[in-house]
Amino acid sequence: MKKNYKIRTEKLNLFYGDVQALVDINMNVEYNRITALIGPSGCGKSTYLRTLNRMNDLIASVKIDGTVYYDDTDIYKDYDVIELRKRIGMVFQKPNPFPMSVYDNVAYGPRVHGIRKKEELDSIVEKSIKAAAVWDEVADRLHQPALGLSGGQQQRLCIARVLAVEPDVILMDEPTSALDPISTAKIEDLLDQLKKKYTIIIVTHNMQQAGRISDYTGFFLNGILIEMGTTKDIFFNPQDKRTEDYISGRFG
Amino acid sequence: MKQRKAKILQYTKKARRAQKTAKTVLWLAAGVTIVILVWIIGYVVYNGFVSDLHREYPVIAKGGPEVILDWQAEQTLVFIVNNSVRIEELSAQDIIDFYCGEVRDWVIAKQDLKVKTFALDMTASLGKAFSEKVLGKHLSYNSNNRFVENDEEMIKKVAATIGAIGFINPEKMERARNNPKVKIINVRAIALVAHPAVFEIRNQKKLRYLKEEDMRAIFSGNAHNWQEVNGIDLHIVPVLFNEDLAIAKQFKQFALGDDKRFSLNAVHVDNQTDLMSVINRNEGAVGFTSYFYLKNHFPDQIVKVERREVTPNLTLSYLIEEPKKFGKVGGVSTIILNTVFMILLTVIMATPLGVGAAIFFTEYAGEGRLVRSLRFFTETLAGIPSIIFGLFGMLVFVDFLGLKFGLLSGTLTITLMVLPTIIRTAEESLKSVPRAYREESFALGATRWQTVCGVIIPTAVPGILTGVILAIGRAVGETAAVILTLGNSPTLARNLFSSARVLSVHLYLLATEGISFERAFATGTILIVIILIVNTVATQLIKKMNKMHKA
Ligand SMILES: Nc1ncnc2c1ncn2[C@@H]1O[C@H](COP(=O)(O)OP(=O)(O)O)[C@@H](O)[C@H]1O
Ligand SMILES: [Mg+2]
Repeated sequence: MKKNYKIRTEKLNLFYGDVQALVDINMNVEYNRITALIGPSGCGKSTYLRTLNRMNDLIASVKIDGTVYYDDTDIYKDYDVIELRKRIGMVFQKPNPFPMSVYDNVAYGPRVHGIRKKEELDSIVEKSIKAAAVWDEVADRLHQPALGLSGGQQQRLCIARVLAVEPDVILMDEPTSALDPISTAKIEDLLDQLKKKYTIIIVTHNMQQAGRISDYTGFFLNGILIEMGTTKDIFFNPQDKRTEDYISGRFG
Repeated sequence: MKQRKAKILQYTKKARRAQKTAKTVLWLAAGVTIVILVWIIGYVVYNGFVSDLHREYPVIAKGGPEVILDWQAEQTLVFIVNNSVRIEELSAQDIIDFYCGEVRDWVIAKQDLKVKTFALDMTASLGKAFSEKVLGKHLSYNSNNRFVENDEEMIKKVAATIGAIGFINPEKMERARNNPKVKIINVRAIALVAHPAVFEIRNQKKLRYLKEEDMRAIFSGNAHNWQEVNGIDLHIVPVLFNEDLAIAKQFKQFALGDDKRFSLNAVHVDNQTDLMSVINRNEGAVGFTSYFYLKNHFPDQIVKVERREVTPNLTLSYLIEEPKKFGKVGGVSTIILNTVFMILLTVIMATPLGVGAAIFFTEYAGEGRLVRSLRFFTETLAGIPSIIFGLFGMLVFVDFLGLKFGLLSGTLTITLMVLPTIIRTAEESLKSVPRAYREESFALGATRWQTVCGVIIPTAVPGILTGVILAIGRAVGETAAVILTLGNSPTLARNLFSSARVLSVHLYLLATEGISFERAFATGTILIVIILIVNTVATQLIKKMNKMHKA
């Protein structure tokens, strides 16, 4: 029997105008696992990630062909983009809380999706912030400006904001690259918690991080997915010479 | 090596010097700008609150309650007015104007109030003296003047009549003082008289009036030639009544000040006839006596005296009273309210329109040809002189659409005028909202409209408000376009179609029609204060909202 994957891409090509940024990407993403995407800067990791929740739709010059399946549904054909983004959340490189209170930040998503009742919002906000492991730090300042939090707290708040929409996939684009080591450690612990309930795809610049947290790893180079497998295999038994070179720090 | 080091050192020195010069120049520029701005605002506000005028009068600058009708002081009198009249003193000429009917309203008190004169009748000796010496041979009582028989009745009548003025014997002053409905006023009734030669034109010079200090110099002996007091080359001969005469005492008190002494080389006289014959025999002679006497007998020989009058200008009554007689008297209450109506209506119409257009341009439109031409169009609109908007408004809103001169036509016109400002500032502040906010919001599954309402507008509100303030500033400052569409009726606007005068138009009319510069300044000050209030409120609002924007 054919195995079901949370997300599959088949022959995915992406062009920025005339420049091809992704070439024939075939990738399968497992349920409730952490998949790390690594590769040198400019190789198309972010671009790939953004095709998965159709954020590239916002860029006029982008042309895509190939297929992206989410739960075996073609997201570019049979899916409403709003519904898709609700199911596939995204955490960006730089934490960007909105200039409103902590509470309003987390409640933003639910409100956008039509939840108005205060008790309901209260419980979603609390649940999400707790799940993002910042509750202890922000519980007494829910109605203070979110921009007053530290960078690490802001990033976990952004995760809480995503969780509040109740997605089942979370895309993360170098979520710790702007943070200090302590905050980074906290986020890594959090990811370990989250993978019980969510499928996570994380782009990371930091190979140790990929090694520490991920179950699967994909290696990109120049818009091509060179190699994909369990993290253990990629790190200790790479099949491709280029992967081996990258892992051992010979370029990148 | 050494050479190079020296070269670098020299270069550093040069750079430092340039830095210093630049700093000085910039500092100067900033300083000059600030000084000019403070000067302008200070000038307007000072003149708005304080009316500081130099006026020429045919009488001296001060007077007391007890008025001498003639040089002899056999018969003196005290003037009383009804408490409704906001005035503390009058000149002798005002008294004449009131009693003969030349002036019928209390314009001098800036009140829309009729003057009601009361006089003692001929059976009273004071009544007789008044009619002979104040009105004289040529004038007669105005037709509405009412006669009373005695002082008691006079006090009672003046107390009971709004806008009344009357006179009593000085012995009854206490009675008047005890009546809360009347007040005793000071009357400036002494005037200067000079030989006709003093008024001649010589070498293209002519004495027009005396400054107060010059008058003091003449009578205390510090000035010896009329040239010293802006007159012609002529020796000054002061002529004085003997110091024990009441009129000399009053003159010393009111004109010289008690600490000054009379000139030692003055000619002394002890009656009216002598005074006039001495004056008319000596070129350059000057003396003083009762204005009433001079007005009736030697009106051409009166020397005018300048007086500095410092009075509060912008008073509470100016704010709360309705304008009367084209703004000559009364206040500006209705005009302030009309202005507020105009501001509110303009903001209500222009803000949603302008912000809506800005949102369309920045969030929806992209960079197509249509958008570029639309943007060019709004930019051009911003540069069009307001009078053209006024013309357009008059022809289209007032005439063609039949909205009449009124609030609606006016505010529609102003709305068109300020739209470009609001659009441009709103666009700038929308553009300055970080792209990341949009992405984050979309990634959470928000639509574009939800993103605009939920994140972008709230973030951009401070900038948008700034544009609205600028627009309000333009609206309240606008005159030409407003006159053509809103009209200038000084009454309170009752509905959207009633013509209404606003502060800027009122100011314009006060100044151009020469109604009153003091009132123009007072109105200008109110305008500045309104702008100040709008600014402060908006700044507070922005501050409050910025709390969420800052760490
Ligand atoms: N909006 C864009 N328009 C045009 N080219 C882009 C855009 N975003 C990224 N690219 C190009 O696509 C390539 C892949 O970029 P990216 O996906 O950001 O790489 P990575 O995240 O792996 O560093 C790069 O060459 C980059 O210059
Ligand atoms: Mg990237």
